[in-house]
Amino acid sequence: MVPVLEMQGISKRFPGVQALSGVDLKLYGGEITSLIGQNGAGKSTLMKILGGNYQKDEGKIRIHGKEVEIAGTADAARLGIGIVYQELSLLNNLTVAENIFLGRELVNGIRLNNREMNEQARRYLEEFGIDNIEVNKNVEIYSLAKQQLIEIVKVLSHRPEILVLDEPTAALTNEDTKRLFRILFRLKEQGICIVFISHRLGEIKRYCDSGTILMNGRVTASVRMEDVDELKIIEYMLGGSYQAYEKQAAAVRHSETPVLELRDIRLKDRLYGAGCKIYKGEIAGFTGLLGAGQDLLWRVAYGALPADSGEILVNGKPQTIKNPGQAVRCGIGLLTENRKEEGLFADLSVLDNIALPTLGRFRYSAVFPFLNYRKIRQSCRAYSDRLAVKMSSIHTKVQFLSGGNQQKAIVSRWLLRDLEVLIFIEPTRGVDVGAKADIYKILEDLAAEGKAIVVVSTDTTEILQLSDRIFVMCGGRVSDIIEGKSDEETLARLIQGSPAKCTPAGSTPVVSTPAEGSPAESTPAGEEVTT
Amino acid sequence: MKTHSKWMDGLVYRLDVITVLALAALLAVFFSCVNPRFLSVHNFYNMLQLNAALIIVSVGMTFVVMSGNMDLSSGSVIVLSASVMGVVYRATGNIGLAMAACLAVAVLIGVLNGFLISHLKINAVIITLSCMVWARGLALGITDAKSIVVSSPVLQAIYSPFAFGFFNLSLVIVVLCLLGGWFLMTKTRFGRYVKALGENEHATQLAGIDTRRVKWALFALAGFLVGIASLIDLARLGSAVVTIGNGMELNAIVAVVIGGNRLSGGKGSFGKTVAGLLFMCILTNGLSTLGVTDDKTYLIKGGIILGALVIQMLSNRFRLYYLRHANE
Amino acid sequence: MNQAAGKKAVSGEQLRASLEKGGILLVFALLFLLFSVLSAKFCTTANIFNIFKQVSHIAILAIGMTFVFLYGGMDLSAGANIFLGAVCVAAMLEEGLPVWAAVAVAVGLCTAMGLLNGIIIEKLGINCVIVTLGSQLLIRGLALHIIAEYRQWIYVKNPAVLYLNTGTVLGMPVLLLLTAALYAVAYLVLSRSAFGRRVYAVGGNERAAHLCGLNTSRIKMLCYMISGLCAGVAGIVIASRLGMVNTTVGIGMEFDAVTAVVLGGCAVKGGEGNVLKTFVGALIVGMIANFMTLSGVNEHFQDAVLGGFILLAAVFNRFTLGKND
Repeated sequence: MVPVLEMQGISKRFPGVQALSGVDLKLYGGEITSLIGQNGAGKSTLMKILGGNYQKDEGKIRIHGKEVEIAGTADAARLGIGIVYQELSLLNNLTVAENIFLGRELVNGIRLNNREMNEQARRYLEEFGIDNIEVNKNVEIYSLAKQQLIEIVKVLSHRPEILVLDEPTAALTNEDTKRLFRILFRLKEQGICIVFISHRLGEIKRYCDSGTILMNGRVTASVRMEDVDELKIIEYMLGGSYQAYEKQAAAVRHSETPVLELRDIRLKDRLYGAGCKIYKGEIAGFTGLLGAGQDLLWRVAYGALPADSGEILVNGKPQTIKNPGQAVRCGIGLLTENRKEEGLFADLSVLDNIALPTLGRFRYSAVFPFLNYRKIRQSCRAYSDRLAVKMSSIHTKVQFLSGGNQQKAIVSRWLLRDLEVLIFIEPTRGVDVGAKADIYKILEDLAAEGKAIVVVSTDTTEILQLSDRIFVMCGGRVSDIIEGKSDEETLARLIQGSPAKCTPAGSTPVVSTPAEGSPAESTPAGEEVTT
Repeated sequence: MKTHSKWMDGLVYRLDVITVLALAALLAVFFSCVNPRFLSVHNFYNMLQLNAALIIVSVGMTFVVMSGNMDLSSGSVIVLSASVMGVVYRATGNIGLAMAACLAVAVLIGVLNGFLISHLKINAVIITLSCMVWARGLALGITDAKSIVVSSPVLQAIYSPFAFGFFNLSLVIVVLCLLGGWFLMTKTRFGRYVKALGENEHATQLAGIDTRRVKWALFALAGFLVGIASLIDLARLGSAVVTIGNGMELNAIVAVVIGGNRLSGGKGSFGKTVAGLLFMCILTNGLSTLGVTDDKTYLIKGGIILGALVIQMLSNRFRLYYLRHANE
Repeated sequence: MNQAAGKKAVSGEQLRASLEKGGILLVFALLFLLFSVLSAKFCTTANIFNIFKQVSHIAILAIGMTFVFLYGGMDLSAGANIFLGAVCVAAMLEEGLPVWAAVAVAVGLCTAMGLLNGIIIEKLGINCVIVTLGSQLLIRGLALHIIAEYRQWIYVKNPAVLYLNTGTVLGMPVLLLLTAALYAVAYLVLSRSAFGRRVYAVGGNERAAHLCGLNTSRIKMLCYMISGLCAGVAGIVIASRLGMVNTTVGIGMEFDAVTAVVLGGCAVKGGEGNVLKTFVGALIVGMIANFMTLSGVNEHFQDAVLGGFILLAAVFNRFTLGKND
């Protein structure tokens, strides 16, 4: 049988990283194939090549055995490739029907035929068994889960032969996920081949027919789902049999005053009374599925997001933290996963990037408030050397550094500021393997020096490897705290969560909260709702 | 918050239009207190006549603002195309040719600006700002800063009434432009793409739409409307005067924005533009009936515009806050 | 073949970088040579000093505009503000205030106008272009109101203020020295003070600056205040140069300043630029105006050429800065 799509020997290099090397992928009609791998394994890159967003360096793509070139998104669409990306491409100011038909509106002469488009859009929604969505309402009024379904319908309305879904279930509840798969099964029966990318192995095992597993840009295995179990998949993902991780958690002294304590943090539809205590000298790992609230909790603690209610105590004293400036003054620093948007000043030198929040300390005097650049240079060098930031000079623009070195530069920034608590959200995303190890080493050293380190990551291996204590979040609260020995399987199970712990009415191990009605439509993912 | 009514929701939803209409009413009351003749049918008609050009430019500006851009060159392009028309008329005496030249200049400048903005991806503010300077310089240069009389029955026909003793061609043109703009915005692909472009250019491109062409077309359209505005104003004044179109860009942008169209693009409607226009027309017309000196006109106008922007912004904040918490 | 393409890309990148660094100086030198060849009167010491003096108020106005551009904003009220500064200083002197008090009132009032802009833009989040277009009316109205008290025309008779225009120190015009000193301070502030570096940071990536704990809105408001302050100083300079103030002062000067800044290579989106290059940009503006006057070009066409230069500079920056996406 000729595969519908065959990708052969695909390689792609980004500056400093070999994202894909010689990847083979075969997809057959009427099958759901899942693409499995950890963050940074190359799944998204592979799909972006298929969708025409990236150009491959080497390799061949064949559709029905015929070799094709995909030079742009238009080519991909023409070849019947439909991709639902993680970030939605819906336009908030247009209605559901207008979004579905964007770019290929139906017209009578020059007049838009809105009635017909609404009618057809309604039929699409019906066809896929989606109710509760009105086609003539703006998409912005719908929850993220519904927007995800609209996005999928939009892609399906192009009648693609190959459908790629990139983490479609991250923002969905179990109910919505089931609904999504009902649709996918129907499509499968129609002979469409589907690529499903997810981190939730349970879903993959339950719903997919086959899987291709990637690790560091290489295929480690292509399997039939009936032949393997979850443990085997994890083994392929990690490239060997996994081990139990055990860290000496002795550094944590619970009798001490926690350096940072969060109490009952609430954020509408996202966080339901999350709290924790962080102690000096520990690495606290926060993990959970996408949308469980772990990153939001720490953004709130840093003042980057306003909480509805909750208390923040620094060294036992309550503090108001309404903006990052106050957080920094309280000794808290945050590094986010969006280095480019939220961390770096691409056009400024490494020196400026490191020294920016600390500049005030380098004034000559109050009378002559200019900066002593010799001292700044010395201090910045001290930290960048310590973290082994590779750069031609400290005056190089930071945009010319590799991802890992950029990350180190930002870490140097907060080290220079001499903060007590450092929060790392996804510290190794987009960082190559070598730099990853360096960053782990840095985190461990910092903790050993007595800093409190918070690592927020969806990469469970990273969390297990680093953390003294692991806080598992689920449904906007801390559901479990693991101390001492643990392994992938235990953690994976806890992350998937149990209904008792994850519903808002349940209790948290840290602070018990009064019962509260569950919200009708929660939007658990990280995007801010804007109107 | 649970007890709020649907009626209240609707009211808050339209708060931006209501705010600007209330402000306009307030101004109207104030001006009619000072000058009782302000609130007369005759004056309202007069107001429409005087502001015909502004209304037409605002139609184009609505498209530009909806796409998330801004056009600072309208006023200067009006004076340039009027000047070109004057110069051509003086040289050839052919009114048809002069009118064609007037429109052609405006459209060409629109196309040029559109090209620089869409294909070279240069910031619209800086492009139209430079256009504002060079177009005015050129206009004053070719006319040597002197008015050129253009008297032609064709132009006079624009302002001579043909029905009910007041209804003339300029009103027809204004109404046609408004209706045409509304139709284009709400009923055609072009309008929808402009809206999409203003919300998220990247996503619009992903949908397979050539956003560069859309941008280009919309600046050309705005240019065309500016050309018509220039014709109408020239017809009203009877000559290409150098002060024609002065401050037009500010008036048009303010009219569009004060009505509640989002300056960063994507959200708005022609209804909002019309409400904003009502406000601006009452303001400029009222100030002229006040009969105060230049300095006071500037002061009052600047103050009222800034004040209205602030009030509109605050009411919009309240509106968003209310809508966000309405379903709690 | 791939390698060749790679090499080409590298040299293209280098060319871009060197153009970004030195392009403006090159343009300056070429124009200077060209004008010197075309006009015998152009390249004389007297004329060069004259250019410096003619351009001084634009150069000073452009300092403030540079701060505003660097954070990513725009101040179209600068022209009206320079008028207010000139009117204020002349009127206060006319009322018999001592020079220092008149200067302080003028500069203070202009700075307050800048602060007003800053508050409306930052605290209410309204687009800077529309706010400064609106406040321009307000400021011009205020200045017109003051000057109306003096029958639309005030002579500046104070010797100290006039000395600014006529005086020389060691053979150098005082105005040139003043401008140079202000640029030196601005350069120091932008490159060697915490505030200056933060302006670049906010312009380069506002979200990151906020997450760094910087008070971004205070920084932006300060930029508008500096723009107002510079307008005040420039107003005094122009009052001194003209020897009188009438109602046409300041019209269109915001465009001259914007031209200087854009010619100097400031990115419209903020974060990139150098105040010393702004000075070169201002000199180019002055040179062109001077040359056109020398060769008898109609003043209106001069405006047209100036507008064309903003356009050219913007296109030039588009290809050298490569930051417009």
